[in-house]
Amino acid sequence: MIEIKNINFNFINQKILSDINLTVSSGEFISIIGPSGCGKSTLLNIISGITKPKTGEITVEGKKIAVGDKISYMQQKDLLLPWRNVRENAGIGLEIKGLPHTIIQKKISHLAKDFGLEKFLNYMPHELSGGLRQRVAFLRAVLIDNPIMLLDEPLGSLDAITKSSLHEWLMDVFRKFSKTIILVTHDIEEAILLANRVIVMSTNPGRILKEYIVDRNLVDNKDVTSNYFIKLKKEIIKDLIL
Amino acid sequence: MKKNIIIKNYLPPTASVFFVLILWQFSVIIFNVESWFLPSPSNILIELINSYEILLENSLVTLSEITIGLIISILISIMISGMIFWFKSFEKTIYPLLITSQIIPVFTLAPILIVWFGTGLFSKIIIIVLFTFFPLVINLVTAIKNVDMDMIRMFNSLGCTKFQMFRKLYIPAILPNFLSGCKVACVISVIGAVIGEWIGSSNGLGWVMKISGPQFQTARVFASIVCLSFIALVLFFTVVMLEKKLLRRYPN
Repeated sequence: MIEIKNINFNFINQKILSDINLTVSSGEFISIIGPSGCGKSTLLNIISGITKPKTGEITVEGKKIAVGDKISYMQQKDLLLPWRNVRENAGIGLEIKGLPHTIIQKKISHLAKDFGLEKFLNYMPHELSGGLRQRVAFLRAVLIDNPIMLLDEPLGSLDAITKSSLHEWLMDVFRKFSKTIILVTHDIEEAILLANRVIVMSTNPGRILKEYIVDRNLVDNKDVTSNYFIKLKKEIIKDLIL
Repeated sequence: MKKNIIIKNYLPPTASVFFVLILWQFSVIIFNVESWFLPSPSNILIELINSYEILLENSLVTLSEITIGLIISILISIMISGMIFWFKSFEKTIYPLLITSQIIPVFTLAPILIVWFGTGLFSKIIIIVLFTFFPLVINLVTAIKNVDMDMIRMFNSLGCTKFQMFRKLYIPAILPNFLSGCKVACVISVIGAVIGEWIGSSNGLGWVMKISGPQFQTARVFASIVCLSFIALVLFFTVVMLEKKLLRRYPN
């Protein structure tokens, strides 16, 4: 369980985040949605530990944690190192953790198939499509084997078709690895399609406006036209416009 | 196919060089230019063959000065950029000194350096270092500053140490800029060496040019220039080869 308590964050005297309180249970998939500049990415930076908040604290299972411990963070850009091939890029997190080369290779080979990357392990990043590059970034994050994953618009730079195929795949992969996931997105449909809870944030300063529980029994990964889906979408849009 | 690419890549530059040489050769013959004024390419070639001993001996002197100067320059630039990576405030401390070192024309410092350090190898090395470390440092510092902030954030989120960040992100990220700086340094190191030798020396190609000019041994001056250009080219292409090897996995 992640507890985000009373987080406030200022940047050059401007209040970016105000009194953020959020609890995420183990295995939950939550989406955070909000207008540009509402501090969504800053919140993820704070949860990951790479940015220090002005006040407040983050605990995992009741304890404060070190950066890189228990939490993997995936940003919008795939951030693949251009001088490393897919295999070496995927293994970078484990390398930093000091795991032996043979074990890293074993883990990569073991997971590559689930990520549809088994044929591409020796490719360089510039030889891959955007969707494949993003899969490598997912693999890198999953390999670290932290129970919590922060995803900052991971599909934001992809085209609609690639995005929709990745949605389905993402759900399968994360269910399989039973991770706790916090996804930040601009895309309302994506927020509803993937999560079991949608957190709506407002801007100036960024704070939690509302949260919606998504009934997963009523949401089909491919169908964005069901009554339930449209009703939920309309409500979120209303919140965002206000 | 490969043969075609070689022809396509190397034929135009080779042809243009030959064209200029032939034009030069015929102009000297047609206009009856005296060889002490402007020797023809064939005269220079003959001079290269006849004086190969003196040219080779002095080329080796210049080459050794350049090699030592470049190695010191590279080490200094790596040290400075390493300090800038580890201690952010070091950049503010060192930058005014770096800029000042370039505002003062090194040419004007050369006579003072000869007075202080004599006409031997040491003064030449200092002049070459002063000439070459600036492009190296500037390229490295720029590359350090240009490392993608998101990449740094990603490495931080993985919980890496500063040393791991330096080894796994910074070194590979700045390598292309470092090698570009080396290419520039290789070419200008030759200028530094010649200036040092010209102002105070008893050997080296700069010295050969200095004593040959007043004796109207113009062909020998040109032959020395050919040797200097050859040294610069060899150094430059050594870095190009190194670049091909080290950057083979980088895009473009």
